[in-house]
Amino acid sequence: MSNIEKLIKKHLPMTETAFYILLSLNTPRHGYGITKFVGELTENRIKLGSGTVYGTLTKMQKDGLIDVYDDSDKKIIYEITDTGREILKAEINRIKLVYSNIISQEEMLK
Amino acid sequence: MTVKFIPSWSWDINKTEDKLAQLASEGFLLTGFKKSGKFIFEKGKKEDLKFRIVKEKNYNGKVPKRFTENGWEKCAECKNHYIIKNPDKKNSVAPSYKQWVSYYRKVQAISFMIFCMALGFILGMITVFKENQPSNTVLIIILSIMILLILTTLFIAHNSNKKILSYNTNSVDFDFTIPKENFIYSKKDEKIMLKSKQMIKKSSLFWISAPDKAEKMVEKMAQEGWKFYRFDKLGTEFYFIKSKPCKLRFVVDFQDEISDEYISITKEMGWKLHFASVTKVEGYCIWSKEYTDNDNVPELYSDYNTMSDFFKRRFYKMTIPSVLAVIIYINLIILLLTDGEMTPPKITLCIISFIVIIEYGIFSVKSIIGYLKMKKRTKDL
Repeated sequence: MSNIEKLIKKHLPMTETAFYILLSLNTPRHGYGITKFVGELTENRIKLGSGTVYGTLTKMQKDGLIDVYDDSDKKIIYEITDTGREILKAEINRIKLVYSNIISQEEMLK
Repeated sequence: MTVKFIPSWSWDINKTEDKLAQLASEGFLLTGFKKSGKFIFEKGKKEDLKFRIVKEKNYNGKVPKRFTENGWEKCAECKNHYIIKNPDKKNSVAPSYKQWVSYYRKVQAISFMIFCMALGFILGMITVFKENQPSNTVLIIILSIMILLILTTLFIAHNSNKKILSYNTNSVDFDFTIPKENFIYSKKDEKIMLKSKQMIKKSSLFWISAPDKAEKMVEKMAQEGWKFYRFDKLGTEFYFIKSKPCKLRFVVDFQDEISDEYISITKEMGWKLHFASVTKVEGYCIWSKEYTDNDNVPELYSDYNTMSDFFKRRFYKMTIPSVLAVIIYINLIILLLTDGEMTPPKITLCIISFIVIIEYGIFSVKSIIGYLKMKKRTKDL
C-alpha cells in the first residue's frame, strides 16, 4: 500500500471541520485566517474554536498534509502540500459520490 | 574541499546559521553536512548569503516550491535536515523554526526529568547508606557528573530556545508562568486593593485535580461582579477584582506541547492567557473570554472529536500519574514495614509516604470524578 493510500485510509471520511480546514489551506493562511474563511464559506454555521483549529493542524502537519513557514511578519503561515491536495481530492470525490447517490435516491423518499 | 567539524551545531541553530554565513563571506561555500557535525565546503568566490537549517520530519528530498520561488537554494542535506541559502538577505518568506523550538523543549523536559530522578536517587543513597562504602562513593560521583551534564544540557537548550523565541515576534513574554502583560497593578497597589476589599484572593492547592469545578467557580464570581484578575506564579491563588457583573468563560486546557503557535492562534481568537505551566511539554494553559447574552458560550473546542481528545488529555495527564504515585508509595510502605526492625529514619519515611498517599489519593479520586462529569458534558454537546 502506497503512502497516499495509507493516508487516505487514515483520514477518510473526514470530519466537516477537518475538511473545511484543509480546503481553506489551498491558499496560504494563518490560524485566524482559517477560522475567518470557514466562517464566511459556511455563513457562520461552523464557528471553529481555536483548540480545534490547532489540534487539527497539528495532526495534519504530522502526516505531511500541510506545511508551515514564516511570513514577513514572522507569523506562522499554513499551506496545503501535494500529499494534502491528494487527500482533499479523494475526500471531494467521496462527497460527490455520496451526493449523487442521495440525488438518485431522493425521489424514493418523497 | 575543506571539512570543518561543528559538533555542537544543533545546540544553537542561529549561531550555526551565522557561522555558515560568515564562512560564505570568506569564500567557503557549503556543499554537504552530516548530523555528526561534519560540514563540507568548497573554496569559491566570497558571497553574502543567508542560511537556514531546516528540521523536517516529512522531508522527501524536495525543498518546498514556495522557498525555491523566493530565492532559496538547497546546498546540503542529511536525513530529515536540509540547509538552504539565499542571496537576498531581506527575503521575507522563510522556513519556520517551529520544529527546532519543539526539539529544544523536548530536550529540556527530558533533561529535567532525568535530573530530578538522579537527584532523588542520590538523596536516597545518602539517607539509606550512612556508612560511606567505597562503591557508593563512586556511584555518587558518577551520578553527580550525570547531573552536571544534564544541567549543562538544560542550560544550553534553554538558551537556544530563548534565542529562537526572540526571533518570533508573537511569542509571549512570561514572568515564570504568568504573561508579564497580566500584571496591570503594581504589588503596592494590589496590597492596597486587597486591604480595601477592591480585590480578593482565593487559595486552593489541588484545584487542578478538578478543573471543571474551578472553571465554574471563576465564571460564577464574574457574574457576581468579581472579575478574574490573575494567578500567583504557582497557579494556586486566584485574584479577583471588583467590577461590573459579566459573563466569562474560563477554561483549563491541557496540551502535549504549549507552543507559540497554539498560544498565538488562541489569542487571535479573542482568548486571554492567564497561566502556562512551567513545563511547556505535557503542560496546561488557562484561558478566559468574555461574552454577552447574544453570543453563544465560547469554547476552545468546537467539534466532538477535538473536544473528546481534550477531555482524554485532561484525564491521562492528571489522573494516571497520581494513581501511579499512590501505587509506588504503598509499595514503599509495605517494603519498609516488612524489611527488618523500624529505625527512626524508616519511621519518618513511612509517615512522609503516608501523607503523600493520602494527598495523591484525594487528588486521584477527585480527578476521576471530574473526568466522569466532563465525559457526561461532552455527550450533551
